[in-house]
Amino acid sequence: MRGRIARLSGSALALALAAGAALAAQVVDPATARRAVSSPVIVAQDGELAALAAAGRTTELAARLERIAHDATIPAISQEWLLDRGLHALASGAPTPAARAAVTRLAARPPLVYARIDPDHGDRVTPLYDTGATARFVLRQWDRAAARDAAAADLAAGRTTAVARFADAAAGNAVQVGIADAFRAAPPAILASQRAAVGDALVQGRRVDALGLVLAERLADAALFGLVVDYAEEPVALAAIPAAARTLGAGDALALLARASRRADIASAATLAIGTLAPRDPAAQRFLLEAVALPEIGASAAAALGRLGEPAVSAELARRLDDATDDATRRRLVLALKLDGSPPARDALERFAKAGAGSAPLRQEVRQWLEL
Amino acid sequence: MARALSRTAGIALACCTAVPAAADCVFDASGEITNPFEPGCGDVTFTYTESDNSGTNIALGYPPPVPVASLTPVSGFRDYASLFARHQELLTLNDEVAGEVVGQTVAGRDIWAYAIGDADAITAEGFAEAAVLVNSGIHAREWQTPEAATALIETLVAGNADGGFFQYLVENLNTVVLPVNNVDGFIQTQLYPVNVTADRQQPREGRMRRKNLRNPTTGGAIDADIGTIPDNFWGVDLNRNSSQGFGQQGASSASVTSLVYRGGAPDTEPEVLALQQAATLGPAARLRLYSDTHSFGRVYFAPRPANTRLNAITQALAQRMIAASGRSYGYGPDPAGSPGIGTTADHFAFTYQIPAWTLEVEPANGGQEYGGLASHGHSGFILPAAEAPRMRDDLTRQYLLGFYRQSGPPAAVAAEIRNTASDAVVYRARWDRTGASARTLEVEVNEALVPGGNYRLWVAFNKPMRIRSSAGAIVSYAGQNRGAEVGTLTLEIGDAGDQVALTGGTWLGTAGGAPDGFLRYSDDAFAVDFVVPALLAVTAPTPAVLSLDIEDLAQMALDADPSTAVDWGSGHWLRYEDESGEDGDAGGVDCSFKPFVAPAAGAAAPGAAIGCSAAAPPPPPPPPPPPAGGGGGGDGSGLALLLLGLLPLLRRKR
Repeated sequence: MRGRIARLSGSALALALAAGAALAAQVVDPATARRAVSSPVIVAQDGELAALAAAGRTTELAARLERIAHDATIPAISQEWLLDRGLHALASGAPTPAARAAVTRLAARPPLVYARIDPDHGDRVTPLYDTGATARFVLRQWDRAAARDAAAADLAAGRTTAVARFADAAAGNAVQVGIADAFRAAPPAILASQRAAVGDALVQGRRVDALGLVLAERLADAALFGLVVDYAEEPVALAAIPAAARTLGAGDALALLARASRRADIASAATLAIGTLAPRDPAAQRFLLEAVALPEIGASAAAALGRLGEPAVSAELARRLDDATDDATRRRLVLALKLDGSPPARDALERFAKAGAGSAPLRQEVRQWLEL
Repeated sequence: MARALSRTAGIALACCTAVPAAADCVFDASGEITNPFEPGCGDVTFTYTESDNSGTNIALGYPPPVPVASLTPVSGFRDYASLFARHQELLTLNDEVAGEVVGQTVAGRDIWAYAIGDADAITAEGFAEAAVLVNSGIHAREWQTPEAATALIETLVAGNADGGFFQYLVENLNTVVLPVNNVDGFIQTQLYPVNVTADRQQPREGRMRRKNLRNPTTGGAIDADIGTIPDNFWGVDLNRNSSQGFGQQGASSASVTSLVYRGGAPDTEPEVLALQQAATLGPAARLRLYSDTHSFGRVYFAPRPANTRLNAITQALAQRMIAASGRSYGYGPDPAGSPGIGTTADHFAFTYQIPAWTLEVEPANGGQEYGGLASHGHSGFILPAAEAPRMRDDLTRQYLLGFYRQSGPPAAVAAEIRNTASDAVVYRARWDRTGASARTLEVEVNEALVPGGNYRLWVAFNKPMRIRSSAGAIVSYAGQNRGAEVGTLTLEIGDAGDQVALTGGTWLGTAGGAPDGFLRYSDDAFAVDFVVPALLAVTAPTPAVLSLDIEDLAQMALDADPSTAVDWGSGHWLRYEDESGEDGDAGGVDCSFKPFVAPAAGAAAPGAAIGCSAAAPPPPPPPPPPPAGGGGGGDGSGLALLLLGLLPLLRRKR
């Protein structure tokens, strides 16, 4: 809305953004877009698409979408909306070769309808719909479903070939996602039969991270969680942390999280997760108090302790600050007490600000904090 | 068959029992929702999903990120509590980071700003430091930006003892960062990481809240419950509340439910006032750059005050920063004469006459750039978690280059020439700070260079001029084209125009000063070996000059007159001279070091000095041709006399 919103629904605006577009792109405002998809004719067409989808007539639906895509009598905004709706409906069904070919052709379609989405963008516009992207999404969803169905069949038959296919697929692609879907949907008894294959693959460095996490969580398997923490790439290892905290018993969870806290890229998350155990688990509290002295996770331990809001913890932090002899540990204890903010914490910080050891800038910073 | 039927039934359920493709919000011609509180509009909740687009679900094509509890950066977006703890960790554990509460939000939460720099306010040379200010998190839904700002602080702290580029920035610049401006709104979006209300074309509240939490009826804060329908449209757009351009150009609204509600009056929102307070940490009078980090769009939107030099500098600076990105960004200046629209960038550009912009980070168009969907144009606000690390690095690279440029242009501050056979110093000079903006050249040694002699030239600058890879090799800064080469160095000798090209110089990455080490920071000095030609025809002590045509890693030329230290004022560089002594914004060739050549060692220095050929005025244009036909003087003698009369002007400037 930088400048007035241009009501250009009736005018074609050739935009360099749509590289290679043979059709002129349009900029629409929301009211125009709403009217364009509310006309009886368009609503009726949408209904017909829905009916085709409901009847599983995938080939006809895809062909219908291609005709819509080339129908110059349909306004662009209506076209794009119908294509978006129809493609999403296709995504849920099973593809036919003709449907796949049609969707593949649609995957090359550039955006044709733009809108001013972010008011800070001035006259720059953003695709309101992107049929090509949606078509590519449909292709991936079909591949995902096929991979899921094949994996489900393998699981039901007790075969471990899905694990190998997962490891061989490109990271994060539709095949991997589909196989993970099948694992998530399988009953625990079937998953248990896959445990050895997945565990071995992890140890061998084969990329079955997501499967490892699914099994670990579904089977509440502490050892498998450990393998995930040790071997999986960061995104999956990170996801294992809250999964372990909610799945495992207190002792197993603490042991797993302590193990994760030794891995640099997830150490902070693991330490904070130990903090969520601490209200119920004295061992978790002890872990955090000792961890404050460790450079790798000391600050995270301080943050976790500072969030507990427990008077005994506050008092212990204060005692340790009084007794601290190295600057780094002292600073982390100050951090914990700042984040704590309770009266005992403030008392400890006041003592420190007046007569504590440590650098003058640190004491000055504490004095400023106390004045807040 | 059973599976196919169930799938078909699933499709039927998904498509045909859906609510209308759009909720029943009604839009006016300006794009405003006119019935926000009516059933069917404000009370509709949508959910962002990875792939389910049925009913009130909106598929993104990738998993919608949820906030992560981690102080250290991860493949994703940290929750506010973790970001805050991280900022406080960096503050408490590092004396180079100072922090201050600069205000409170509408709901009473503290707003913190952090300054990264050394304890003094002076550069390594002793001149007053410049400052830069980065704001982030002003629009709640733009999750990329607090992560980008936090990465900036993390990177500066991590490198503050690197002996080079980062240490230079920490010791010679004050970098002020306000990482989460709209704390209330940001927390609100994280409370509801996948839910929004109202309309797919204009989702509001929850994950897509843009504004602060101002309740226009009470003046206090609205509640955090997404189910409280009436207040889901309320709040002030903090990027329309600044006084510069307030209410101008139809770019904001007086309607309290508008996405761009500007507030009842300018500069009313505590978050905006907190940002203005953060500027005092610079201090404000020393600011040379302001950037308000937003998403999305991949473009720098720059205000355009009536200051031609400022606008040119802003554009050049942005283009250098854009070049440092791994993605293509655009540059979008306001139209000439625009007073702004009440953005924070407008405030800083017009008030302080400094380069300022709204920096919209990636994506350019939406989630489809990462294999996702357009999602009614709004997926750009929801960057996939996996893209967060690269985005952080990319923004940091851009910002640090901008900070380096605005810390000030390079100046040659010391030179030494040493006879490599005898190891004797034959020339040594340095520019010492002698005033608030002045340097004086101290020439300690000035003995003759002799024909046939082998020498080593060492020159040092006031900033690191290059960077190195982790393997120790000189590399170009991302997107810039100044690598291992030093530049064009020439020893110009006497009026006869003799020149010795100095080639093969190397930047110095070890400490120790002349002749083989840097002065203060890695690669703030270079050395080059050269020979004075044995056949050079000098019969008496002959003045010479070193011509240094060198750019720093951000492609800024030298301050050609180091006697006047560069500063910033009125929207442009001050005392940034070129080789002719002209004050401007481009700099030029340094010609301040003037040894001499003599037939033999021990000769006294000549009385006169010379200037660089680069500093010579251009030759005058040729005279016009004589008129055609008639007239006298057909033998050309008049033209010859004219040219002879012009000869004195062709001599080098002394």
